[in-house]
Amino acid sequence: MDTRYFDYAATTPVDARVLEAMMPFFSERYGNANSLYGLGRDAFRALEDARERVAAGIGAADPSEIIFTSGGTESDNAALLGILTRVSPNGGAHLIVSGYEHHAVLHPAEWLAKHGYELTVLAPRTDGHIHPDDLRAAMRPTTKLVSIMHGNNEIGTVNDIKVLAEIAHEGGALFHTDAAQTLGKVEFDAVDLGIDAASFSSHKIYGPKGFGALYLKKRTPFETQARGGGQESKRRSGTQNTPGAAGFARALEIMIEEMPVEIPRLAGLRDQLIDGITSSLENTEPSASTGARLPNIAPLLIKGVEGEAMLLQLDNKGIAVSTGSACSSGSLEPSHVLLSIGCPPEIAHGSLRLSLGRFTTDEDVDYFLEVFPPIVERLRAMSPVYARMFGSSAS
Amino acid sequence: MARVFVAMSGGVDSSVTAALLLEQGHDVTGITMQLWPSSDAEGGCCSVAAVRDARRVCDLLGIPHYAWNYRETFEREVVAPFAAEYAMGRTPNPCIRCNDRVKFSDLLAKVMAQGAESLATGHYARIVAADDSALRLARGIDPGKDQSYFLYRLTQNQLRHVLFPVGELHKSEVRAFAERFGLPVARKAESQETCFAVEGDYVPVVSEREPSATRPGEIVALDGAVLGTHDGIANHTVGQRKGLGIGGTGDPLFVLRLDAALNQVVVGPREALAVNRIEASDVVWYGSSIEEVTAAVRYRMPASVARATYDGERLVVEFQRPLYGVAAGQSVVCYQDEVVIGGGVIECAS
Repeated sequence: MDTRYFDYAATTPVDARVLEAMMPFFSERYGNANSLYGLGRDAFRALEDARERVAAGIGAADPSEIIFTSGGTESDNAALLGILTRVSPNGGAHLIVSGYEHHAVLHPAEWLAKHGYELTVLAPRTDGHIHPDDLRAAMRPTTKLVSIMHGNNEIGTVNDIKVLAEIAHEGGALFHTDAAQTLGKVEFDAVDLGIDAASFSSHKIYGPKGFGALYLKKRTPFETQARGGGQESKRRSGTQNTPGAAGFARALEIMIEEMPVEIPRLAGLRDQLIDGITSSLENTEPSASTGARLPNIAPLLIKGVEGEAMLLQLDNKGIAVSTGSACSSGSLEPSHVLLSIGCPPEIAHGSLRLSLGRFTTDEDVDYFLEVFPPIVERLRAMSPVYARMFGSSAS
Repeated sequence: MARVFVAMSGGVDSSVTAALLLEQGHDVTGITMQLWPSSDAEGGCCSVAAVRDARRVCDLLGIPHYAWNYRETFEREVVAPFAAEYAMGRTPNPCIRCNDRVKFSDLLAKVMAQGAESLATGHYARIVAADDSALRLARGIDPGKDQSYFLYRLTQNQLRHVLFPVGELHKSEVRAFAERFGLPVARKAESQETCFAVEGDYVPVVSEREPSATRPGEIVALDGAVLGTHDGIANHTVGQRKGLGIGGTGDPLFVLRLDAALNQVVVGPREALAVNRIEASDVVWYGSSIEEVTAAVRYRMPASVARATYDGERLVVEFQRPLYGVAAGQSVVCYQDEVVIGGGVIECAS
């Protein structure tokens, strides 16, 4: 059975053009970019070429502001820990993160809070955005770093990073943003946004898994989180992943190139999905629907049905969806993102996230809209019947 | 060919359950319930390792596997009442409650709503037909593994939609099947402890929810004489001898009773523990108003000859020979031969 893939926010297939760009660096041009002979110089050139292209893609002022990493999670961890431990080595500094960050930001923030730093977790408003006034109110004289995501992976809302970064700077703090979900889908110009640091992931944009980048504006204080051979200008040791860099750079170029056509196409499919579901099924609504949003995420609340039950039925039909974000245990928690925007837990359990991408077709959307409503209707009809039959306390 | 879901813990019994059903030609899906937040702890039926093991087994068998979140339900239906019972000086059995209120209610309902005909688990118990065409729960074939004690509350509706394939097997056969199927868990150690007890200790779980249960108090004799202090009634169980911290030269002392109102642990000689008559509430009963039975008040306890009387509300079980260490909150389960004819939650014993 062919998979109808509606989970591009979890990961994406590597684009054939990206794979082609990577291939030479596995077995032919395999040199270590730090070696001093021809093969090494060749790898170095390829790596620096990729760095220049990534820098251009995200609007960095200089290629040296790009640190290649193993992905979004490493970039987030490095940004929070690296900046704060350099700015304030003995703790005491205040950090603000938003309440619906990815765990790759939330967990290091909580770790810092346990190790001598002050933490404020800033709640988004019910529309799914971080309000500038709320950030302004949370700032303290000791605030040294603010980390607020660009676009949310579950509900698809996009924050006004330029305004938020300005508020952080007015208060004397540095500003980091996790842009893993928005890269290539929302305009991103690091200089124009005025940010100090940003995290990117390659596998969300049809590049390989295990690769990403941390943008670190020149002169941003940073303590390396990976000590060793001193690669990446002593900011991230470890032999560089040349095929990863080549793939990521190519993937980003394709994203940007195709944006003018792809963004309206995806937004159209997204709206078609949301409209189709909310008009054919009662008690369904998007969990976020106003303000700036990612074009490819349709975040839905299907009341009275558990996401887990829908996921299983859809999986049986070859449809891949998510009920929130994929987590390492494979289990499904009531989403901290939905809870943070004030969604009651019993409704958050009915969350379904459809995320679209380059290979999503009109037929995929039609197929989903045909298959999905009967599944929900059946589950809604059967669940209470069986709950009564077996003395279940399930809601 | 029926659509069957198997509750999988990653352990050998549920893995073999899935493999056997698959071999019989059923359309099998694996489910792992995540019950507990401290899921990075080793062992237990719901750790991350358990989910991973269950996933590997399902992958090997070529069947789909899903992890379902039952943390809130488990807390509400099992853990919170468990702590509350301890705070009242009772000794609850969380496995019985989990089977009754989570596994064979919520999970079964959810599985049925998915279009399944049955839910199978790796329990060592059997389902047999009674004379009146109703179904009864019976002991598993392997006397050393029988888990019918934990399942006595199953209703007819539940029994009709539940399968226990390994109940028809001895543990050695189950292990042999696991080897034959090439299941990676064939030599895995058994987990015996309450799944949410951390290294065998459930007291932190209780004290977190019911701080009063770990408040120090007096240890008193039957005549009221104060013999020492205890570190909270949750740390003690009726019948317990060791760990009282009141060594002496006289006869050994046992915990006779936990008095929650006075926060006292009442101790006395072993003879004072002896009871012949047990009264139970919250009864499940398939017998007549008076039945000659064998009955057990704990898992793995050899069932003892007794007469059971059920008046439609209370179950009274009178044993021929005295039992020792019977605590309120435990379940008394009655058998005729191998078949469970009912049981209830112990309220008092004398």
